[in-house]
Amino acid sequence: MPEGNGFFAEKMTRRRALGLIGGSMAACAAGLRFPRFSHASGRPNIIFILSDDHRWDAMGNMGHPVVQTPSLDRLASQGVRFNNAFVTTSLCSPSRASFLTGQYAHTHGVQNNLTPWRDGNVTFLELLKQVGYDTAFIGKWHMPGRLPALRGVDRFITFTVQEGQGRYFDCPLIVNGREEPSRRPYITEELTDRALEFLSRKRANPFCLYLSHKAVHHRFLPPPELKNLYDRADLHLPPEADSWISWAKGQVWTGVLGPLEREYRNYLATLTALDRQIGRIVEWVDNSGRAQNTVIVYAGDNGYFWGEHRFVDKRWAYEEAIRIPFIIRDPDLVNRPGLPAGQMILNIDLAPTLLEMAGLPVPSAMEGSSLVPLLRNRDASGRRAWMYEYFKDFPYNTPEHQAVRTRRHKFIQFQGGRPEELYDLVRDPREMKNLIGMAEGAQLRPELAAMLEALRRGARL
Amino acid sequence: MTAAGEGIIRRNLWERAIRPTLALLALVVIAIALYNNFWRLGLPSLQRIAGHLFGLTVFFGVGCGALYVYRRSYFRGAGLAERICACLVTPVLYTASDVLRVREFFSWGESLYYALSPGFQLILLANLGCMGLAEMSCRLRLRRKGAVVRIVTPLPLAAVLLFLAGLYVILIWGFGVHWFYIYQQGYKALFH
Repeated sequence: MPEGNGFFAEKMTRRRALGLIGGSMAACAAGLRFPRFSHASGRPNIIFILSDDHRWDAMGNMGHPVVQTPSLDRLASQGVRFNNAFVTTSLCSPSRASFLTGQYAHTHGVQNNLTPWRDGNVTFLELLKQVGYDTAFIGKWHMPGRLPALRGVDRFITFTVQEGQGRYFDCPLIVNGREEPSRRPYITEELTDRALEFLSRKRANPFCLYLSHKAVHHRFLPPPELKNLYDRADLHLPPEADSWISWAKGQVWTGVLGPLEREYRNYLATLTALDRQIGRIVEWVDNSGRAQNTVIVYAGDNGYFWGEHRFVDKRWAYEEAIRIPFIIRDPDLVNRPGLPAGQMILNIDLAPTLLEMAGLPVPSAMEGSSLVPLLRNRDASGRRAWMYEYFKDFPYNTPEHQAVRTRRHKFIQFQGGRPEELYDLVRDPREMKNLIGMAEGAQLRPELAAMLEALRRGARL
Repeated sequence: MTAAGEGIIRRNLWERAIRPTLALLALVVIAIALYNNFWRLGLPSLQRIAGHLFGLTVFFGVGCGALYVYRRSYFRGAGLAERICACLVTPVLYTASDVLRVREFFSWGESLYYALSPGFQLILLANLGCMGLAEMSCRLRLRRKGAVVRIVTPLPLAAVLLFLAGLYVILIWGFGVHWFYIYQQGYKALFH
């Protein structure tokens, strides 16, 4: 009998069997999909690791010229890396809420870093708990409003200092509502320790761990032993960048106040530190004999500009800000491991994916789509287009805007006086040539504008 | 603070206040334009140097321009009010232009509140501190020329101390995070 499957661990009586059959028929009649395990061995264990501000190309397996990420490289080689993974809002709080709920920011309500989390929001952790998972949320919550009593979470470890951003060193934790000092000086190591403690517990149920790191958010502080790791590296910053770009045009709010090169080196070193801790989790899974029935998902909450478009930070609908690393290692499910996927996927797809993996119906309120079909059939076409949205977040200097991104084009409409933008992402991947006002743009605009309008109408924006 | 001292001839308004003000303003405007647009020339080998040159010119021009304007206007006979006004023109116009820029996506109320943000507070305080330093350096120069004048008096000293206190609260205390969150609380109270 597989460990960690409460359903099959129960003794089956005639009454219970009849009850289950009756319940299943009622579920079918109500239009819910019949629960079906995606894994041969039943409900899988789930580990979701979320990082902060990790842009999609800052990994060794993406060919980054500097950063070393052997653990993420290993996950990518043993699973599937989605090369076209995006967030629907490129900002920490909204994106985190989207991962948890499978919904857009306009639906779950956390539209920026000021609008609070709604207690009525349903997370995938809550739904997994209802079918017997042991659950833990460990790490950065960082959603406006008071810290919630998160339903369906057995162990809730987070931090509230600096408005929920936490600190890299000696960050006090809130463990199930009680403040505790950090046992390790460095936050990424501390959170990993706490995660390993949760994983190591003896249990009969499957588990779901949501491990949400502070790294690699500003102030990009690596542990002392990695501080000078990339001091001599050639950084390959974009040609439009310069050292003081974060002081220009209201970008001082990002807090990136030092020369860009120094901040970027620290960012990369902090990322390598994170990778080492991810390695500890992967090692534990592999050494515990649970690898076959444990899904590991790694993602970033949004991208990050390092001088592209003369920006630092995120928020804007350009590729650097909206693309994220997204890797799934699932030995039981992933067809052709090691082969990257090119389909467009979104952060709101995570919750439906994990629910389907656990054999649960996906609630109609979730706006994402399960990635399980893509994992099984690697040649499936995936989505054709999707909507990006950004809401005002005072005092950050980014206008509210929406965009439609297709496989080839991106069309952006801003609130206020900023003109529309349209890019051919195949011919102009760095989005430097706005096609609005050109013949090609005039030809493309009507269809893309109609598409964006339809998506907006669907979202009631 | 007084400009009345030996060796100071009071010039006309253009010479004593407007000209130094415009000189700094012109420098800052040109530096901003070059800083923001140099990359368009497609000279990547020069981009970093240009970034340093023009970026730091803007930084020091807006933040410490009072050092130049105050001293120039002092030795051309400008009174205290004229010197202070002359020093404030560039930082105030810089702030106003940024308020107009963000007006594109913030309401009028939000845009005005934006003008009170920590960055602009620091610019104002930095210029105030520079005025205090400039006043004392001008007096030092006068003394070296034989004038009987006290170099350190309460007002310029207070200006420098106010800047240092502001620097600590706005930028050093929690690396700027604490003051920023206080500012954001103000925003929430006013606009949410």
